[in-house]
Amino acid sequence: MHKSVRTAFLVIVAVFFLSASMIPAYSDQPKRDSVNLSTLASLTSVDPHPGAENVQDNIVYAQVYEGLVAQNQGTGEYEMRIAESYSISEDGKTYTFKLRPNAKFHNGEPVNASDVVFSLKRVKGMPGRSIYTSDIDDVVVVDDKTVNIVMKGKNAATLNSLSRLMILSEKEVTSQGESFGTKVAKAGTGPYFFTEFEHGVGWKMEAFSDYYRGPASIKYINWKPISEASAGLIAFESGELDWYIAPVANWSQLEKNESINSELVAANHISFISVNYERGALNDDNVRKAIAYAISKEHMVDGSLDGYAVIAKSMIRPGYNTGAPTDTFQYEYDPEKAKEYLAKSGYQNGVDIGTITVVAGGYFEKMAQILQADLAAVGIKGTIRRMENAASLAAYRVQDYDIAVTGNPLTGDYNFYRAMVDSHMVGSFLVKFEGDKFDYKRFDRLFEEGVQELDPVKRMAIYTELDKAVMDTACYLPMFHRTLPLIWVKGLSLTNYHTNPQVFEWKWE
Amino acid sequence: MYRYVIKRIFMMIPIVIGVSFIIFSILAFIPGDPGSIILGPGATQAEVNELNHQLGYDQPFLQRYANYMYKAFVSRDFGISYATRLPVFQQIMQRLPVSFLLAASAMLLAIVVGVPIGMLSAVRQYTALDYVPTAIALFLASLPAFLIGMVLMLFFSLWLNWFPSNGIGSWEHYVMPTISLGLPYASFQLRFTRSSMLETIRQDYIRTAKAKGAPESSVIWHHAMRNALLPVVTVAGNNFGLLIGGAVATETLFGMPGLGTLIVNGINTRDLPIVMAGIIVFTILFSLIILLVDVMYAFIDPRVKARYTSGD
Repeated sequence: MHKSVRTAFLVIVAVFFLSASMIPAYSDQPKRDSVNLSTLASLTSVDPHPGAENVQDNIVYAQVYEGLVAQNQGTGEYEMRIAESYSISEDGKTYTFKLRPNAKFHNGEPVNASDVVFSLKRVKGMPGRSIYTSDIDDVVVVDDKTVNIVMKGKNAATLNSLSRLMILSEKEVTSQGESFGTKVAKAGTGPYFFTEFEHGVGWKMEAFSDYYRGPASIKYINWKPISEASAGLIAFESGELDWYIAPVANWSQLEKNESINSELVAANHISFISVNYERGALNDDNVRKAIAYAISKEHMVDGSLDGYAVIAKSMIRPGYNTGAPTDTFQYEYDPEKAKEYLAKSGYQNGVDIGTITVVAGGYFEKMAQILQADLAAVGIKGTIRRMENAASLAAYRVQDYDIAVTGNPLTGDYNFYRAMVDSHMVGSFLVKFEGDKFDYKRFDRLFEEGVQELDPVKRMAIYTELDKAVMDTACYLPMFHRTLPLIWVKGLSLTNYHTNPQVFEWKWE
Repeated sequence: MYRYVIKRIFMMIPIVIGVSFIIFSILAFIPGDPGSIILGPGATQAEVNELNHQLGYDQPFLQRYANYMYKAFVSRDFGISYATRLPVFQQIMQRLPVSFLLAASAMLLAIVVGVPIGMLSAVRQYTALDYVPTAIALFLASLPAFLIGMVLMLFFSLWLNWFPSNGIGSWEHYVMPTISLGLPYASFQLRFTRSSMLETIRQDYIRTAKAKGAPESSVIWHHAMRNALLPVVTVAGNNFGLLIGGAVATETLFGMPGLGTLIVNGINTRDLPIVMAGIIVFTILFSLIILLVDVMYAFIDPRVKARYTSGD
């Protein structure tokens, strides 16, 4: 028995190692005509408009779909895409777009004005995109290559909205009917089209040979979802991926690694603290201002993202986001001032403000811990309430929180801030300004005036006034804009370092 | 025997109803709704309410449950995923083979490694052949599959470049997930086999066989092993069932689209049709595996077969 068992054991071990040694080195080396990319979550749908804007999905859609215009991620400027030019009527309400004569859908059909009408009317009926579509009054065909987009009033955010609304082939979408989005379609106009789509597994793209800007240098893109960031980094380092947004915690090692390319890029995102003025002591203006002065943004950046973030001076980052004020009011870290405000409110011996709600895990939780410590230093007590993402979203919608630590991607125009402030969006997100406490009608009016002002200088002046007024409420406290470490392999030439890659502009050296 | 199997299959009906009701209740009463998740923070409350209405999420709880069960079991329609709009049954059937293969290969590894070494440990108790495997087993059992997976990734993907670090598509993709999932179970099988074997070889009938002069190998293989294997098979069956839906960490780490990940993502996004169908399929599979284990008893142990045949 002894010998036979030992022999069996040795055979198993020998077979294992022998078979392992016979396995050829795994070779998924990129072909020079393809790149391997990943997202943190599986692509939800091939349809770019079904639900909420999703950062991960948008990375994929950016290769396949286009709007009439596009916003350059580096400069914030608008560039023509399916439209070759546009003009604005004298009353500022009607935008006339001339379509490119050579723009085609992936199915080979030319892009016509009727497709633009179909696409914009389709998305106008969809929930979750109202911030972009609510100001569009009508879309009208002028001729095959000309379309009029009639806004409800003058609208300085029109180009931003249109850059977010993709133009789809009416024929492709209607022929697929209800199933559009669930399988490969040739409904886009972008430099790549889907060739495979298996939810949860991966999806592939091929360069569109009839693309009006010329075919892409890199012919194929292979995507797969890798939800675990460390696993994604290993996949990159082992050669399975060619470009990756690495975890910021690894940046200090990555930037020293000379065998790869790396760039730390600021994301168009705001991480912030929301204070619910309707709760207990937080209704007191002095308490909220005490909180605002008690928080150190440096502590936040250093403690939650190892110092790799840009301190936010306002909720909407200027520069990239059109109309965002550059000179606005912000609360500078000043614990003594915080104590003074606390004393003014009658809470000189400290106050318990309830809970600090945060989605468990990730850097938000670290932010909550730092916030708790900063507040405690001036005598404000808060208990951290950890929630899962779905539960927190539901809680925020009905203002069921005291203080929340959260974040939002931004859209490229200050008008997006309406979704967080304007009373017409009441009940939808975090702070409900409508009521007796604040002059919410002034906020609404300034948003309206700002979006109707086509002169950039005057528009920014309106938004500066608005921004200061909202900041004065001390309900939204901007903390920082995240930075994302981009890494890519040697030999891959990138002309842009955006977090939303444009593979069309890449090439293998 | 057949009557027993059919009876057990019918017993699955109340189990499935009970489990589905519990899951449905939990999902109904925890905060969060699909409309908020699908539309995100940019949508108005009216839009969220409208979508929840379209999805039937605003109906009374019992009505929703009854509708769901009727559609699932009478019309055989498990619904459409809220998030992807793909048919739920199709998604589950796509993912089930991945989970099944991963669980089967991990259990195979666990049995191939754990059972023989466990037997050897028992037979050679208090020798190096006992101490070393037991110590290694304890070490492996203490390590989470996630950590083992990370180490394997570093070693076999990053340094040796032998295996892909994630995804599916070839047998190479399953090597590291199988090892990371199977090793902790192998250590469990080892310890369980060892203790079961130790208990068995101390039985009177083993002593009798030895006293009658039977060779040790015959005593171990013919007398002790079949009896010692009974509880081992039970545990292996249970573990296999659990692994089909419970290998979430491994699936996530290695980017494998399995059933466990599908269900967990469904819970996170309140994708009710996915969660319900996933749990129901998992419950049925688990019940079938347990039934299979019970039936296997009959082949391993003639006493059990005799009991089935006599109708006890």
